[in-house]
This record gives sequence, structure tokens and C-alpha cells, in this order.
Amino acid sequence: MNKRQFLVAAAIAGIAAAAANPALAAKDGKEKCFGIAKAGANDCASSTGGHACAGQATKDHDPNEWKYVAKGTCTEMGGSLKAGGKS
Amino acid sequence: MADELAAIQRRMADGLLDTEADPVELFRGPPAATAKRLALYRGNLTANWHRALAGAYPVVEALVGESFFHALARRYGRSHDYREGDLNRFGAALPDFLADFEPLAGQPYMADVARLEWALHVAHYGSDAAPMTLAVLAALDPQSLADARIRLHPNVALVASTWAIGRIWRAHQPEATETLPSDPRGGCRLIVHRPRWRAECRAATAGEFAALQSLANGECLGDALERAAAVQADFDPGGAIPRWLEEGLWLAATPPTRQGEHP
Repeated sequence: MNKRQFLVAAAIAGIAAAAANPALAAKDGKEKCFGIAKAGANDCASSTGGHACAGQATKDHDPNEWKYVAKGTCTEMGGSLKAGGKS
Repeated sequence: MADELAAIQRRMADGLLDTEADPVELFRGPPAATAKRLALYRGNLTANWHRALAGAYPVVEALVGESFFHALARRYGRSHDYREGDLNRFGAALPDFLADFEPLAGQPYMADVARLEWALHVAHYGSDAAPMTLAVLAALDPQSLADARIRLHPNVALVASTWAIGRIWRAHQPEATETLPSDPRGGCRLIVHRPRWRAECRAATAGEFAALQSLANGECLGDALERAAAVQADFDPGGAIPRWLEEGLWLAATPPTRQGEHP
């Protein structure tokens, strides 16, 4: 038996065993589904109800108002790195 | 007339993207008041971009912080040639954008975190198509099984990275039991899928990843299993395949074509 035949035989054995297992075969796919909604991006109404549109209170006319400094959770991971992964 | 309207619309759109180019002359009334209103309009635009991106990239937002993310959303929105009417698709180009985003050169894992989040986002809004059942496979004889070409479910994505993006992502989930790694280095292979309603990702073994990648490339199941065994000596197709089906990773099998009948 070559490698390929061996792998396919193992696959068939596993498929047959799973298909014969009523717990798996009869699985109806029901599960809890609360809390799955994502905030929609296309609605204009504010989630807090204050304004009809998302950024109504924010004026934006300063071209250089921002210096980029990451201040989130990334600061917990060893600071600045060089690209390239597992170096 | 149509040309004139197009020119006015162009001028207005340019003014929304370029703070130096307020199209005040298009409006009646005091220019100062018009400029203020246009600034509000721009603020809304940026806020909508921010919200659209935050919906798809909550972990990137947490990683860089909200103010950085807001500025990033503005920069992305203004630099991006955006033709999509659906804001849920607005962030599609963000991973590539982040890869070249100079302020994040020190966080080179960010683009891969974004790739993972986009795959999850796409899966969330993806197809409800029923996945393949075990019975379909159980009916195949060995040769047909080996020759079968399997289509992965459209919600499935295979994401590999040289960074620990799986751990980084999991540490940011509401029910997280893991903390952020102290060092983001360390590769991972992840399977993104949506078992029913909720998009998820899990770590894959080298063999699983190779096999699913091979199927995604259109190779037959026999080839896919051989590729898996080549990269992982203890790869067990008998355990892996039922698991994949339970997770809904496979959509359908295309019956093998007879020789000389390749499509």
C-alpha cells in the first residue's frame, strides 16, 4: 500500500466512524446565537442617540492636527520592532 | 449642463478630501460660515470612515488606540481610491495600506492582524450556504474520494503569519483567557470560519493547513492529504476530515472528471 492509499484508507475509516456516530451524524447545527450582531457601518444614526450623523460635533479642517503615536495595547508588546518576523 | 454638474460635484468631493481646498464659492452666504459647515461635513465623513473601519478592525483599533485609529481612518479614507457603495467593504484595502504605513513601521505585525480581522469580517457577512455533510463523503469509494476536488466554504480563509497574530487576536476577545504575548514574534497558521453565526478562528496544524491550502488551490483530495503528510508526519486524515466537516469548512465536492475531460 503506498502512502496515498494509506492516507485515503485512513480518511475513509475516519469518515465511516464519524458517520456512524449518532452524536455527530445527527448534529442539527443549533447553537446559541445571542450577542452576534456587529455594529453596522452603513447606518447614519448615532448609537448614542445624540446626533443624526456620526461625527456631527467634530469639525475637521486642520490638515496637520495629528502626530501618529500608537497608544493602545501594542505598547504592552515589546515596543518597536523591525519587519521580517522570526528574526 | 451635465459637464457643469459633474465639475461642481468633483469640486465638492475634492473639498471634502483636501482641507486646503474648501469649495466655499459653490455656496451662497458668508464664506466663513460655509467653511465651518464644510469642516463639519468633513468631520462626519471621517467619523463614518472611523466607524466603518472600527467595525471590521476592533483589534487593530485596540492595539493602536482610538486617537491613532481615528487619524489612520482619515489618512486611509483620503488616500484610498474608494469606489465601493457599501461601507462594510470600505476596509478591504487596509491590510495592504498598513503594511506600507510608515508610522507603524515599528509594529510590523499590524498588517497581518488586519488580514486576520478582515477574513473574520468577511466571514461574518458571508454566505449561509449549507456545508457538506459526512454522508456525502461516506458514499464515495476510495478512488472517487482520492480524486474528488473539494470546494472550501466561501467563509473559510487560511491565514498564516510569521507573527503571533492568533494570540494577539485572542487576547483582545471579550471572553479572553489569554493575555497579550510580551513579544509578538512567533508564527502561526489559522483557519477562519463561521460555524453558524459567529466568525471564529482557530490554530491549524501544519498538515491541516497544507491540506486545506492544497484544496483551495484546486488540487484533489489525494494530493492534499499527501501534502499534509509531507509537512507533518503524524497527520491523521481520519481525525482531520470529520473535524473539518463538523466545522463546516467544506462546501461541496466536484465529482472527478474522467481522463481527457479536464475542464
